[in-house]
Amino acid sequence: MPSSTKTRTSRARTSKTSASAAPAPGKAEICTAAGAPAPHDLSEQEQDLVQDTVTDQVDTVALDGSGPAPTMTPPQLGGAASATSARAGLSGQKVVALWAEQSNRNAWAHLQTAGWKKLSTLTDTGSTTMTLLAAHARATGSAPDLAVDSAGVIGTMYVW
Amino acid sequence: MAGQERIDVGAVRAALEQKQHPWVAEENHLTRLTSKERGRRLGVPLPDKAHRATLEQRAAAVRETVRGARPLADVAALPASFDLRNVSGQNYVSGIRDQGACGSCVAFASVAVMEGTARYGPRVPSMDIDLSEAHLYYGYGSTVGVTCDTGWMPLPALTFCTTGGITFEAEWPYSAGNSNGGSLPAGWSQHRAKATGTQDLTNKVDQIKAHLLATGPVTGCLIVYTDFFSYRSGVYEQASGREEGGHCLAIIGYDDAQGAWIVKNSWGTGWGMNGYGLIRYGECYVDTWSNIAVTGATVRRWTDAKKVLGGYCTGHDRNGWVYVQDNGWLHVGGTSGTAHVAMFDDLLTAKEKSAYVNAYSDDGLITQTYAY
Repeated sequence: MPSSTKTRTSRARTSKTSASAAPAPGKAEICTAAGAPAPHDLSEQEQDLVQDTVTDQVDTVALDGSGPAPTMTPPQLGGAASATSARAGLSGQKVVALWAEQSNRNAWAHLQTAGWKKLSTLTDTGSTTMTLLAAHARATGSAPDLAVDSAGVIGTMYVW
Repeated sequence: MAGQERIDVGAVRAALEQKQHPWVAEENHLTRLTSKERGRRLGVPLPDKAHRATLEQRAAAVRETVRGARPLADVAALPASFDLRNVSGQNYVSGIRDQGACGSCVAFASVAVMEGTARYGPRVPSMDIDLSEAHLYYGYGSTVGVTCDTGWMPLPALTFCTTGGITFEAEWPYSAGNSNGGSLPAGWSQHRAKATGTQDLTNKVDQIKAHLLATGPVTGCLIVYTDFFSYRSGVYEQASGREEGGHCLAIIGYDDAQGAWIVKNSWGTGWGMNGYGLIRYGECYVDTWSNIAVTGATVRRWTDAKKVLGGYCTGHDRNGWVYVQDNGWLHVGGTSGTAHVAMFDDLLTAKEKSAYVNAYSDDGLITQTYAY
């Protein structure tokens, strides 16, 4: 059986366990919107799961400013990472875990060292597309280029 | 070298020698033409006396300002040179074409502006874009009385590119005088490029440079003297010959050190430096007569089999984008949030699998997509 299937099962079991307790903010910077729960910090057991499934990829990453249209060029085409709005601590970090629950627009991505970051809650489709893109980054082992707002919420995401 | 005679390149060289060889003359397919045949390559109506006086006044001012190859005083912030054929190693200029025996140079210069802007705007040098000069000249032009003999001007031509758009060369291939009997195919409007607007930069040297840097090529009209046909290399300035007519080409760069514009001509690769040339600032009205640009150019067509190289989104409603190989960033459309998410998901799945997609881009908005 593929390891990914095994991992998915293990993670589900872990999440179920933690769901029995009230979700609480962990050590990482966490931003909660009006009453919506936040994911717990990854346990050591969960960290093991993460390390088993993240593959290495290109680490050319910096952060880009917010805005409705993309401005960066894919690194494989020689695009330079934007340094103008780079935020220390988020560059070159892969998405190692995802979390969502039944509240509206409450999806999170766990970055390698920055920890849990909430995805934009601006609109329904914005929240959904960002969840898809974060999941794509997770699946491919890509380190996204991100821009976060002052509350620590991810408002812009590039994945190469 | 007047009348029906072919060009005496030796006489041109002798005249150049007296001016310390600013450029090199050479025999080519044009110097072997008769005067009448050469005239068929010139498609810009000559200015009347009053207009010519204005043009001369403008050109004299430009020549005075840049004499000695000094940059203009008010463009200190601009780089000393720029060439759309080599922007950080990338070439944004489409291939050299040959208008043949038809005064359709305006269509070629205008299409060069459209193609260059379509590529340079989104910074996609690999974009496959070959637009139909025939559609512009024989299609739109004919609606306003334009023929191979009348010539045209770039502003009305690029205005048609803005209001209606032009289809691709494959849909209506060019031939001199439309001798191949081409016509506009039904459904062409589903495959076309369109300008977002025109911009008149005539007699604004600094703004022409700034537009080249930011957006793309600019047209330039000029008086052609006989010696221009024999141009091979160097910085062109009139040294000899008579006035043969008006012509239009595309300005694709500049070089302050040489005091010259880099131009793309439409006389095939046998003229100039493989179809390109350098023309001195202020010479023959090249920068003071109908310097027209477009503010942007968008494309409507299927991408054909391409790969998705990047994904982007913000939290805004339906603001998912994908970077499609040879097409650049395309905004994922959707008349509803569900449709938007469905297409975005399909495209990301293809990216994950490094699979091909074929998306229909309606001026940069994906409205339909296949993922394989």
